[in-house]
Amino acid sequence: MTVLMRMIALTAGTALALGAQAFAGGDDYDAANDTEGAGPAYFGFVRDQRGAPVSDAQVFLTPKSGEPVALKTNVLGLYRSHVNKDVVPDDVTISCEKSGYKQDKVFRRTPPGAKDMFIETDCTLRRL
Amino acid sequence: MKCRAADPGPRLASKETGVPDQRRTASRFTLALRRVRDTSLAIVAAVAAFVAPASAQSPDTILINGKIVTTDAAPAQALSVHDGKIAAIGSSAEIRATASPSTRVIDLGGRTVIPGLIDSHIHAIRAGLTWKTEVHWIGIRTLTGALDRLRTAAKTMPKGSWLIVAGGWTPRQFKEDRRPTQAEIAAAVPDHHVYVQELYSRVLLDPGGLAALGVPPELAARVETERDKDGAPTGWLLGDNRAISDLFDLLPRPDFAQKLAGTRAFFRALNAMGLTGVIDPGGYNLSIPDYQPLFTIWREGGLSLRVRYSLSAPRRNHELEDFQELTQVLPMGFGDDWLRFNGIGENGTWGLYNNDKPTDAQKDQLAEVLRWAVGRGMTATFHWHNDKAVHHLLDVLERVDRETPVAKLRWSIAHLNDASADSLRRMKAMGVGWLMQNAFYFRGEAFLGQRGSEPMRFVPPIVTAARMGIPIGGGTDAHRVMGPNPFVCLQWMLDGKTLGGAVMRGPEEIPSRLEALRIYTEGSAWFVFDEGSRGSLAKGKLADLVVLDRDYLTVPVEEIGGTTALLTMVGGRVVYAAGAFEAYEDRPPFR
Repeated sequence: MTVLMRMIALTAGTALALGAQAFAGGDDYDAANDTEGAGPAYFGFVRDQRGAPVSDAQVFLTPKSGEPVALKTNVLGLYRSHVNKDVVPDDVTISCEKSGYKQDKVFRRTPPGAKDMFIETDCTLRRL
Repeated sequence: MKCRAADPGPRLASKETGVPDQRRTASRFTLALRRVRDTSLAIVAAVAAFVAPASAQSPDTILINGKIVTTDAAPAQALSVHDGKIAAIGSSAEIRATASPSTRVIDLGGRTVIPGLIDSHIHAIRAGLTWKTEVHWIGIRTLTGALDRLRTAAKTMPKGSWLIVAGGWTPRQFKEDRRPTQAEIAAAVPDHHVYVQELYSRVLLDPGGLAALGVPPELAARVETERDKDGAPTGWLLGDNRAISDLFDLLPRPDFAQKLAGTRAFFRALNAMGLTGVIDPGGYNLSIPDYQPLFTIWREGGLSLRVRYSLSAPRRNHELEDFQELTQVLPMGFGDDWLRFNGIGENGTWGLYNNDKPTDAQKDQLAEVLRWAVGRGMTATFHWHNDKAVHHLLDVLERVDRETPVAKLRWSIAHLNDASADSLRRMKAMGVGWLMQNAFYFRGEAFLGQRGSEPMRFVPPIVTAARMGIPIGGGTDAHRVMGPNPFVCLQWMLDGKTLGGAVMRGPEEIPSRLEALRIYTEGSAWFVFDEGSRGSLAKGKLADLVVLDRDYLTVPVEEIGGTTALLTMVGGRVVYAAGAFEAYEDRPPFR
């Protein structure tokens, strides 16, 4: 798939997602609405193997091409950020790390190929 | 006995029938005997007249040796019930002293008793229709277990028939932490069609399900087929609330007997969860004829909980016409303590139902309906899902309120999980209440993805709204977007945690246990003008109560969600009992 095709697919997906939101109502809260400019929002939780949130963990959003985005989880183990609007979500790899832990597994909840502007991926760390 | 003794009937009868008066020919002895008889009867009558009121005062039932939770005083040990109402509350000794030999004595063995819970926004009527013909995944903790439910159901359902999971679950509840695949459901029940609905956002069908449903082109155009990364359909269909509801309407419907049985079973299931009342807001997939099973059970005296219901607009662009037609013989408040009509909503007009961008014409349309409702003294409840667009609804309400104040009608807005202080202030100014549910128990993480974490400390703003003096009712919105268990909701109110374990609410918006309980009882009762008659345990109130398997006030918060009822009483009748209390269960009719 060429870059142009990806951009077309993403644009179409964005239009569909936004259209569906406006019509559906349901889950459409007063979103930060930062996806139009910054692209899909990547979010999720970093937890330890017992399910407890891990704060101050490093999370990396790494696209196939381009610079990765690094951010930290908050006190709830939550992270949320963007890569850029030209990157297809399926091409973004998410990883997490923290001193004293090693990454156990990464679980993307949003199905691959979904035309969703909010991409949820959880990361589990195991204490060393 | 009293009437018969004083009854001069035989003498009058003799005159009326022309038979000569026997007294003229009676001997003195006979007269003396008659005087003795009459005197004796008079004495018996007098004694009876004295004793009868005393007997009437003795309780029908007493509950002793328990922990009776009253919301305005320290817990008591016991209470008595007479004629469906609470006659007294006090110590076990005090209450036992009021009992007569015919009084039913229930020894609580130290158990906690709370007022009967009232779900102020639950689609109970709709859920009841299909409760016996659906497969339920509510509360199941593994996907394997969920698939087993399908297998079990398949054993009793004819081959080729539909197995329907109509919601009430989320992938996060499963240990596997994911949705089922089409291959999994096909392998589990290869000889049946399967429809699995997740909230109002997606539906999974078996491989032959789409063809069997017969989706019309107009609906197919509103539904998206989910595909995997290779472009192959996954079996999941995506759509908005209306599209998903329309898909559901294509499924075969239960017959009347199944609807009756389902309604009885669902209400009993709610009793087992401690519910003694529901407030039903109509909604999707509920037509006017669908109310008949409810009415049938009510006529038979078989309702095991109190139902208040409002009517949602049946037809798009015919809202006022339909409301006018239906309510010609259904005035506001029509019914009795068990079943009562409570106005219009949650869909007042389709133009302002799940529509963030209503036109001026659509707002005018709602205003017209509401002016009509005001003129008939009707309450109204409104579904609204977010704060960012609720100004459209509030603008219309304020327009009507300026013409005629609506406070006394007890209107309400349901959901509005992220209500802002400004929206709450506008509601407060009109006397509009807030029906709050635990939607974020299932969908909190999605909200975080949309908004980030900062606003979450205040959603929903339970304590803020309570401090502002806004009437709040507790509920679930079950059974498609949430399970109906009130204790799951109460736990969520108290710990703010999603099913996935994310803490959604800061301590600022965590109510106390009694405050949360009050919201789910007295708070809910307010919306149907019942707070004077139920919602708390006090002398003179209806004897609607629940004996719990654990002490709601003292168990760890994380154990509250697992609470079950051991005995549920509505109007003095034990509509549900389990375990050591099983023998106390009454049989319908309950009135």
